[in-house]
Amino acid sequence: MELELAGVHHRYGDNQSLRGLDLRVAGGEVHAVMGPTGCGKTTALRLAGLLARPAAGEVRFDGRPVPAKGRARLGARRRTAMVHQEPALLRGTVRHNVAWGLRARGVRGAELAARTDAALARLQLADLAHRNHDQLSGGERKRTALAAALAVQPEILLLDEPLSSTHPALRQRLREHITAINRDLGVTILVATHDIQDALALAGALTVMDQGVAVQAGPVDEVLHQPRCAFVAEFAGGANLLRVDHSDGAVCRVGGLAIQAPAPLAPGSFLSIPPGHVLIGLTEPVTSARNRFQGTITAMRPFDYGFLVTVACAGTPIAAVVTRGSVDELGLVPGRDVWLYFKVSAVRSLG
Amino acid sequence: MADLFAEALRRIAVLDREVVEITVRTLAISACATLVSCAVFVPAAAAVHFRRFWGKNLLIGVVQTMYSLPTVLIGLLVYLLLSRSGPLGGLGLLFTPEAIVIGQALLIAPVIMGLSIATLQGVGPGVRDTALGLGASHLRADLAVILQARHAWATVVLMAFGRAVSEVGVAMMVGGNIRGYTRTLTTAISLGVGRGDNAEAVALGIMLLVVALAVTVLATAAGRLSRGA
Repeated sequence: MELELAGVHHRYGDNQSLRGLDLRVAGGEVHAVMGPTGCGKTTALRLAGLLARPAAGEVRFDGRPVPAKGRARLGARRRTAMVHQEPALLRGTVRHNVAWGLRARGVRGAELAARTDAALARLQLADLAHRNHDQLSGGERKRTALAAALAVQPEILLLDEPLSSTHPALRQRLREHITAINRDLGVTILVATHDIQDALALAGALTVMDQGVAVQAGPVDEVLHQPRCAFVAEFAGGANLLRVDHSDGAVCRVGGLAIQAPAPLAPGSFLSIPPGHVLIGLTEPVTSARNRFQGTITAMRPFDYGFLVTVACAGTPIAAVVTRGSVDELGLVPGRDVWLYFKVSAVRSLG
Repeated sequence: MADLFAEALRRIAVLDREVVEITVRTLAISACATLVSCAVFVPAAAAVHFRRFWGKNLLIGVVQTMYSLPTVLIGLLVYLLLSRSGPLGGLGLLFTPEAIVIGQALLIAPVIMGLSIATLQGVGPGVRDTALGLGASHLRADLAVILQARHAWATVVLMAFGRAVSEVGVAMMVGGNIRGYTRTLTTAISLGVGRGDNAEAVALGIMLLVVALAVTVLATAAGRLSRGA
């Protein structure tokens, strides 16, 4: 199903959360909405799921405006399912929760059992089916909520920060589940995230939002590598996303650099080095870090708790987050030659 | 004093007809009033909680300040309504158990509404969002929130019943304290002291205390279940 938010405005009290947002999600794609906290991602998802109404603008399913009220609107809403950032489970077992949406839609008997079982199996929850909602870990709760949404067989699945507050192993597992749901069932997925790595791992298309509007949209590669404004560039640059030209085992060639990764990466895939893991020195460091490159500082801008210092190493820009104290102590200024180094374990594969 | 308590306990032990009859009538009237008030004011509380409208917070504030509404004030209001010259005088309900039920139902209405709203607020918006996100109708989503707090509802009912069973103003003013008909524990205690039958007053007082204690114990248990669940 194709989803479109056309020039939607929304307001919570005095806070204008959306200011003419345009968002188009093609049928069958995984589309990420990314932006800082408070930029209106959740509101956009609520409007898409018909859980809220826009003050102005239009929500369209398959090119047609959704009904404004009544049974027809409920019918349209039932083409979607939304999993909230902190899913509140209903009182009862995992099975009760997974079957709840189906019951609400009037599904009964053998079909109810079969669809519930299928959703439980897909999210690997069959063993937990009879466990009570208050005996679940955070990850199990998220999987239960996802299974409940899946059980109703939505045409579009809306996921609000599905990977937030999860440990790395669960994060990877949930990514796989979400990818498989899209791949195997062809469900259109709109996922809100503030994490560029989640967007890269999950989505084929990306809309970057800021202050209630879309600042850039398109295929993920295009948005991140051809940013049309500083805001998007900061998102992209803040993740050190590098495309692997070719690799020799775990050594990846990126431009003129040979970066050692934990595992071999396919040519054309992306790797990411979180800037917080990149260190800067004035001389070649004697260290266990396997990745050491000399370069020249090309840009510095305030970022997070210090500065984002961009260093061009053999023509490839790599950013590092440096505290204000270190910037002063090392005398870092644009044009200065420095050494960058980071551990192999800091290199992340984004597929 | 010891003789007085001994006589009171004896009357309870031998299931004195008057004591038992008044206790049963009191429980029945207050249970009916609680039932009627819950049937009307729990849905009203849900409507207030789930809908957005101008003056909502003001209304909730007013309801909460009416928790301790003087019972005689409600008694007076219901008396004026049901008295022969009142708008509902034609129903002939004054000085009947039904009049006490109406009065007590109105008396505990703010308690039921206020505690119900607090109960629904305690569930948080997540459950309703989850239900709507799974395709529930608004009514079904509201119901999901109401059911989510099921143990807390026992506390609401018991607190309201406790307030009804221990009031005296309404029962006296619109019930008339008629022997064998509208006499309740509180009005009978008042009358017993007035006519010098202290043993009966103490016996009925002990019965009222037992009822109040039972309500408190049950409400505490329900509250614990609600928090633990």
